[in-house]
Amino acid sequence: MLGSFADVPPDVSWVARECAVPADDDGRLLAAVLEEIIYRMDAADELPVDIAVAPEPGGVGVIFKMADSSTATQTGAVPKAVALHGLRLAPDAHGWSCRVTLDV
Amino acid sequence: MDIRLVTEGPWRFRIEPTGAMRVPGIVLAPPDLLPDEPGDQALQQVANVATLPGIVRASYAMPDIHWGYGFPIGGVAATDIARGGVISPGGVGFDISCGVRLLTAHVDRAALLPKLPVLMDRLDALIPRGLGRGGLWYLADRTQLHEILRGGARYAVEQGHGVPRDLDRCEDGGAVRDADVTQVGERALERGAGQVGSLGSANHFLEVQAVDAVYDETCARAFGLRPGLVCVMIHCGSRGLGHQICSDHVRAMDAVMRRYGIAVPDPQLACAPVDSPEGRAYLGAMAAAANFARANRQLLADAARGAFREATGTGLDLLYDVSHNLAKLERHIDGGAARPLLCVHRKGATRALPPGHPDLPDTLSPFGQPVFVPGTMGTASYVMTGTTGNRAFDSCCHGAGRVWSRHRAHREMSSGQLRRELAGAGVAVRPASWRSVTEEAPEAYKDVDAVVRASEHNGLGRLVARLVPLGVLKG
Repeated sequence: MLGSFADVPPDVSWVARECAVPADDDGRLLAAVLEEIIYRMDAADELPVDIAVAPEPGGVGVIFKMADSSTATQTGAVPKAVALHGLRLAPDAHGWSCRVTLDV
Repeated sequence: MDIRLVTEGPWRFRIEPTGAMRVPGIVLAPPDLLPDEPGDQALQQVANVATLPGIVRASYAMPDIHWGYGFPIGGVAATDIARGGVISPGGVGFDISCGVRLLTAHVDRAALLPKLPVLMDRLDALIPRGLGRGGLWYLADRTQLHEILRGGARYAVEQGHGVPRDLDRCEDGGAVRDADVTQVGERALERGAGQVGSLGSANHFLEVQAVDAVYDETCARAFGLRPGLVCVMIHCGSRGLGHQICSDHVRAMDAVMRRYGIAVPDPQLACAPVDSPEGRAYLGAMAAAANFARANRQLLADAARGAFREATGTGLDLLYDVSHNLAKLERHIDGGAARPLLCVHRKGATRALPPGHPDLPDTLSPFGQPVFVPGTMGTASYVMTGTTGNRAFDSCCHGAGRVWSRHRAHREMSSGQLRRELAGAGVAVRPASWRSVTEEAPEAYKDVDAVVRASEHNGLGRLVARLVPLGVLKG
């Protein structure tokens, strides 16, 4: 997602942010994690540089590594929301694949 | 659901009702403006909207129709509230009350051109846009944000960001009534607090333009337009606050739809009866977001006014401010009989009131409501006006309409090529990032000349004037 709109220097400093993200199914879980990132981008001027996800009952626990957005170079339109239209996260023959549309 | 697309003359198509469709689809576009990318779902979305409970007359698509989420962009649908008609946040869109305002200058193109670089540099430094840049208005506290959500542009003017005449030229007098701040979630408030007076990114812009041609002299004169006159067009919306409200209320309606016996073919069409707790909650939150958008455009316009005064010694007059992402409760006349109260969704479609409509200010009433149709940063934009007998619930197109995805634009257009193209056209561009702005290359959009021609042929509006870009600010 970050690669679609910003370049962040490889050695950028970051802070860890933890949260629990609940969801009813895999597609909604993907949307909820992305929404969490978008919220932090707008509310705290932070961008995600890495993410770790661990299963939890009813959802996942997420640890984001977030960098200050002033360190980034904008390269595309900035995501503002996640559409449910066409949303998909499912296992296939090659592992897990997803399709998600971000509004900008 | 299979689509049966039937030609209805050279300018429009009809989608016959099949399956769960309750009304036909009416696509007000000639063949060359229909989406033609493989897998494009815009027409399927017109049919999907026709399944919404309480929908009346037809599911309409404007000539700039393109693939959206749930609703197509360029979609218009009205539901009868007394007959269980629904409201769908996806029928308004994420960027609630995204819209366009046009201001007229007191200077002609020839007089401005020597000063244009200085003006553009001043605007470049002044207008927050793009990634993480904050807003023009540093709010004192949460109470002030609530005032903006209730009072919109009216509150902004009361606080000194504009003049009272501005409000006479804003849809709804600058503020939507019945905004309910209690229905706006904490995250939406947090996202909006630092963004009042900011453009955002993507297709949002502030453009310095000049009137290139006038098609209706009487109307143009009433609108304050004449050949060569400089104008400023601003396109933006409710920023992160509106997006968060849409997301929150889509989820809330998705969770309760089945309780109302509603099933929709696309989760982004999640909806609830207008006359239900969830419907009323969304209407209250939507109105708050609309007011945020009106205040946002008011702040940007006031800043542009200051920059113009510095560069040219003269100010800017607001011609009109109108949304193209909104749901409104309206009554429409049909065959001389008063119609019931309808919830009219316009998703990427502009309200276009006809001459004599009571909601128009006296100075505009004889001529109809101004409608703004932005093209691209390298092509023309148009001013149209509302006409009598518009069957699409007094709605018109809202822009050129995308044909390329953002990925395709990056693949097919380099920033160097775009810079040369725009410099050759004499357009001074001040982007937040040249790489980002390639997504908005003129080639990524439909031919706006064809879009407004189709709008006129379909009785959606009448052409008043053509504007060309001189300078563009993009986020």
